[in-house]
Amino acid sequence: MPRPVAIIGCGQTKHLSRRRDVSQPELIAEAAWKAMEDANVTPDEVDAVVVGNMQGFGGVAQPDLWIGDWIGAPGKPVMRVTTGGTTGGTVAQAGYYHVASGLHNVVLAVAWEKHSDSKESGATTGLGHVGFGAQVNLFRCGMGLKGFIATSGVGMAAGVAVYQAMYYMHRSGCGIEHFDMVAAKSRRNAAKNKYAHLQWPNCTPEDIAKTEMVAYPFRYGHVCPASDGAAALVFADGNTARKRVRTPAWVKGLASITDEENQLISESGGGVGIIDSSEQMGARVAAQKAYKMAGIRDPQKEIDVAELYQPFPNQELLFAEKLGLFDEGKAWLALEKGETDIDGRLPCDPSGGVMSTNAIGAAAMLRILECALQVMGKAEEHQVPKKVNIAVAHGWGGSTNYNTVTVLGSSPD
Amino acid sequence: MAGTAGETPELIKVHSGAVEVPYDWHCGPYWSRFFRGLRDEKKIYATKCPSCGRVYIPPREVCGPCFARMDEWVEVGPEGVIEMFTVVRLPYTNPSTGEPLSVPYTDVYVRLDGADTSLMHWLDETDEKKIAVGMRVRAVFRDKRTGTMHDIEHFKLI
Ligand SMILES: [Zn+2]
Repeated sequence: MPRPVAIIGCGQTKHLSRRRDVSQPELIAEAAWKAMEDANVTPDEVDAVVVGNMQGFGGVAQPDLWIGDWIGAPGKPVMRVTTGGTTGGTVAQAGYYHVASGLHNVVLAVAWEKHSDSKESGATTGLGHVGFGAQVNLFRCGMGLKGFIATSGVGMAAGVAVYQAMYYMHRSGCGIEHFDMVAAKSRRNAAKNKYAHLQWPNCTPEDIAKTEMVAYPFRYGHVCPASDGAAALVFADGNTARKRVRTPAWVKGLASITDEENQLISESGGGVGIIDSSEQMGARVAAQKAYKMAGIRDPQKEIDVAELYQPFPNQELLFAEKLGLFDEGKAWLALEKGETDIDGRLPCDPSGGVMSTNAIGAAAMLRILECALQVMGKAEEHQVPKKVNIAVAHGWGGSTNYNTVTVLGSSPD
Repeated sequence: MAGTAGETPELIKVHSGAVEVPYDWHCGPYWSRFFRGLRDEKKIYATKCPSCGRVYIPPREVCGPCFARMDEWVEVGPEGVIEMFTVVRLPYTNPSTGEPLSVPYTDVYVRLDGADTSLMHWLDETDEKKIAVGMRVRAVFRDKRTGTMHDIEHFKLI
């Protein structure tokens, strides 16, 4: 067994469409400093740093080569990890491995995106791809095979969310009105989260239903924003964790799984991605492995709160099922009953989730960070009104095939 | 000092120009056979796994779950069934041209007869009410074909 590891510090920036008030390193530094202050550690005490954003986004290449000095890491090992939409989840898990291995005691993990600095098409239309496109559409506009392959690499969550939604509706019997409910809940929850991007107090499903249909079954109100923002976590070994903070968020279990069945055709010519994009067995397998490591037998009973990666509303429902929080095809029934509300039986995305805040490289780390806040009791206005012993965080991305699952708890045992 | 007291100092933005990323892609024997089939024969070729029997379209060398090399070629389609569809109404930017895409258009996943995976393509119908999962469709080939996915112009409802 690896040695006990806990999250002892959390830092995030305010998320907005455009953080034009700061440069990219300043944005990243804002989150990193907040996390170190929260953890009650100085930069001198940090042994190593893991960083990551979406490759090529923000208009910069290889930020790992110049970001160290901005986040308290001169003369220290800096490792960059980038796995598409899951980047933040993978960066955090790499931070955990650094400490669990026994090689380092205190590790800073930082993930970010400054979308608004990007001018390249992959970034600016990336969310369009995720939501509505399909790489074949691009042929219509004269894109040749090379472009086809290129977009396979870049925006290749292409069209998946729409198809996922259609498959999920077909399988589960849920309707567009349930997507309206998820979207409204996310906007309402975000209004309680001072760092969130799209905030809409008292938003109702009817408000969302009034927005225009952009690609069936998605309305404009179902779509996540592109945000500028950064997130940072401090991981520490058990002894350090107990000394530095009152309530560490212990890492109980974790896993990341790739699932080619859910990957669109990629540069390797690999990826099938054309079976059923709501299948996402990688999420189910990752959850099973993480729960086994955490000693969780019945996730429906033992998990108190979940932060799911849901840039589109169908994803909150289907990933909640893949993570075993509800029976297959039944999450929308729980949604109807209010079970996933912030004060419900099993709150999903009390922070507002990716639906409300999507700085891509940071988004999957924010799920873990928000779970840590819930365990530590530091989520302020969006703290769920019950004792949180176990929280589960999920990330989805890669080339639409990659899932990270991380289980946090209030005790190491 | 940078500014007068009480004023917000100006924040400067530096703009950097366009970046091109030219590169070549070598299709290899499997995709090349697939594209040659479209161009020269108006036929859609797939590969079949010797272990599990799954038929892959587009064709590929390796069946991932079996980790088995596929060298049996089978013809699939040109008819099939709509597995899933969407009608796109948002004119988002075409990354190839920087121009807005013309909408509406319809994407479909087609499960071609004889295949176990689906092909993503377009349908020449943009009224959601006239499209349903399970409807049969047929590939429409272009007259002038060049060995790309464009050689199938779109699918049409039968
Ligand atoms: Zn096989």
